[in-house]
Amino acid sequence: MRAFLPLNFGTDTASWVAKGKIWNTPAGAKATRVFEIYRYDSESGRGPRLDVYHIDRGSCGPMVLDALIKIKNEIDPTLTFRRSCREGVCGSCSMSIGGRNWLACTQRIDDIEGSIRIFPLNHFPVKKDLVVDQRHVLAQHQIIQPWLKTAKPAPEGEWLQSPEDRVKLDGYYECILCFSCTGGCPSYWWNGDRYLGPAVLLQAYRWIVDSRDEATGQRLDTLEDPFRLYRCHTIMNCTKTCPKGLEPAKAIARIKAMLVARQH
Amino acid sequence: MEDFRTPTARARGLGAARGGTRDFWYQRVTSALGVLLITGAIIVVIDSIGADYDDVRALLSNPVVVALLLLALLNFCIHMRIGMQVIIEDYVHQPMAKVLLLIVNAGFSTVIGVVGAVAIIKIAFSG
Repeated sequence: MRAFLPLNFGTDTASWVAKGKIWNTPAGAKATRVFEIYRYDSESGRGPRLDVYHIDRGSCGPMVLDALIKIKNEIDPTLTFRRSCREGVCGSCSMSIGGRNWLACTQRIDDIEGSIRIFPLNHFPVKKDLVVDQRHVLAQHQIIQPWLKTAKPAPEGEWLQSPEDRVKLDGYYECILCFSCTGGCPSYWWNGDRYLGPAVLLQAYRWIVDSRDEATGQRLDTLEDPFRLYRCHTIMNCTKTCPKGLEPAKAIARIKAMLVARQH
Repeated sequence: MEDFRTPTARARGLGAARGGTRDFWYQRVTSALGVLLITGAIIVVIDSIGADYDDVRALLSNPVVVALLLLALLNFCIHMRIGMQVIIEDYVHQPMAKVLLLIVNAGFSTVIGVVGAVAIIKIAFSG
């Protein structure tokens, strides 16, 4: 029985989150917000902990990323996270904020009630604090060959595309590969080793539907697999958790519809 | 054992199986058909409440009724087999256990279907 239902579903007790350090409330602060942040160093040999920081709301910018930068600059320089553009374009600062995967730079502090819990993106192996290892999902992204593939040599000018065909890319080309959706997908949690996940499949659809691409059938061949594609059970967490407002679930449904269409 | 494969090798794995579309399509078709078939089957069952064996036999002597019940049974056995297979593939990762459960699942659906079909046919043709 143990093999089928291991203790605590097989989670290593070392991965349980312990109570961490409570950092002092800043002196003279009129309004403070509490941030509970996951801290872990994969090289330390110690388990993760949840540190509590009190932030003076009066001297902090409006976004969660502003608070993280403030903590790193003024309170605890060891806090580790990825960030770059701070305006929702680079996709670096995706993390679990208040139980939802989102970009720290586009999540307003005031839109979250109570203490703000920040964890790394779900499912991905944690390297340090809020930085996760994305090597596997980036390798999966390579599988779908996210570039224009043509048999014909490139023209002297640009590849032509009608305005109607260009519109078909809307809602798909905007993906910034933050992997909020992939980290939030239960199918990816159970079978992420083989299932490509919503972000990669949305990217795949972006190239499948591109009228300039000549490898549509080959792209569908690459995806036609019970695990790579059909592990998607339309749970829709991906659509709910996309900070760019895109709909990976719709892209996946359209890929499935194309695979059915080419059978008949 | 440490895994020295590159992330690309791990992600590519055994490649695409070039399958899964038929099961996906059958699951949707049997869902939609199931709504119609189960409605018909429920009407037959309600109509048979309180009836004795001869009444049921008379009802099942109608070829439309017996075909409806057989189609409903076939439809749900296919639906059940695919649905359970998806659950097994989702959650069972130990290769031996997975293969064993997939065989048991296919066998169970087949046996239920054959036993049910024989029972319906036996009643229908026992007159």
